[in-house]
Amino acid sequence: MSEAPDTRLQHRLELATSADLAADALPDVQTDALREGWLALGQLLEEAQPASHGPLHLRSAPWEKTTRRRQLAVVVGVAAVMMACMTAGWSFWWMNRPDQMAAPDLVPESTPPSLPADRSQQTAVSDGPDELAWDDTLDQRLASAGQEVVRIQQSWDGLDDAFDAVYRGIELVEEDIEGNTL
Amino acid sequence: MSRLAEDNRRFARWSRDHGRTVRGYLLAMTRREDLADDLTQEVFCRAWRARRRYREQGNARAYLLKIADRLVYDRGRKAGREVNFNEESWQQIEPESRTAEPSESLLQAEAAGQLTVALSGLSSVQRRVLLLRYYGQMTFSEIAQTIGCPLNTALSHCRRGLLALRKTLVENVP
Repeated sequence: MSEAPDTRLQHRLELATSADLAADALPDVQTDALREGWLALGQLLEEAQPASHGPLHLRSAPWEKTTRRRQLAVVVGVAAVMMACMTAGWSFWWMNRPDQMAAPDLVPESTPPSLPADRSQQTAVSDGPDELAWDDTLDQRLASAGQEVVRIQQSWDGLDDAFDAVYRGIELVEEDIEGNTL
Repeated sequence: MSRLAEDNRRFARWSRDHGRTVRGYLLAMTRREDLADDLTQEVFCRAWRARRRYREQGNARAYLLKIADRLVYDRGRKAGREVNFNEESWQQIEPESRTAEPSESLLQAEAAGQLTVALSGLSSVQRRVLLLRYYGQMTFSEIAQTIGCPLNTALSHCRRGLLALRKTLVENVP
């Protein structure tokens, strides 16, 4: 059960410790004694405080930190978006730059130029501004000639294998004749 | 006005209007300026973190002093000892991290010495009651709620504390 508040003492203490009180407002000696102790404490607290000039300045105000963090986050976000846009724009330009659009068509390797050499083409190439430029048509003709040589060699090898079989058969018949096994 | 801007304004106003009072309370409790500065910073940090739960009732000073009182009490309790009002006790709890600045005047130094002597003659609860009443201008009901004791107990502590101070500062003055 909670104790009933001592209202008399409470009133006395409220008077004794009030911030502003008229000197003749104290009801009794006891309150006056309490007031004396209170005033002495107040005087010492004021005198012992370091001299102050202006309001208190905190080392770092947490509300300023929060604001700064939010501002920093906004700046970082904007910078990231700008960087992404610049990267995308540069990539698009690189993919579609002018020198890429004007690249010459390559001659497919499966269709070698016809023989003999088309002198008009050679002339057109050689008459160009750079006479020492690489002639792809000549290179392709050499490649096709080499392929033809390899094909002929392979066909000879096949014939050679066939003749070997015939020679071997003839040797077997001669052995039979000499051995009187026929 | 955004909520953040409103909070910013409120706390800037609190720092301006009540910062010195909070620091004065903490200095009176700890008798060390470096510790009072650190704890003052911590008081406002805690108040900022709890700003969403704060409800404006017109007594921001009392609100901040309640945080300060709890901070001092918890610091002493963590160290496993009562918060005794003397520099030696606080030095053991919070070793001084930087060189203390010299007192600004002889009068202030003398007053500080007398204050130390006077308040060291009180119990920790008596000091808390008197300083919360002085700096926070709280009602005795609020003080009792802050320190966690019945109202009559808080009244009793206040009365005995004032009489002890009168004896030390008024009667014993040569």
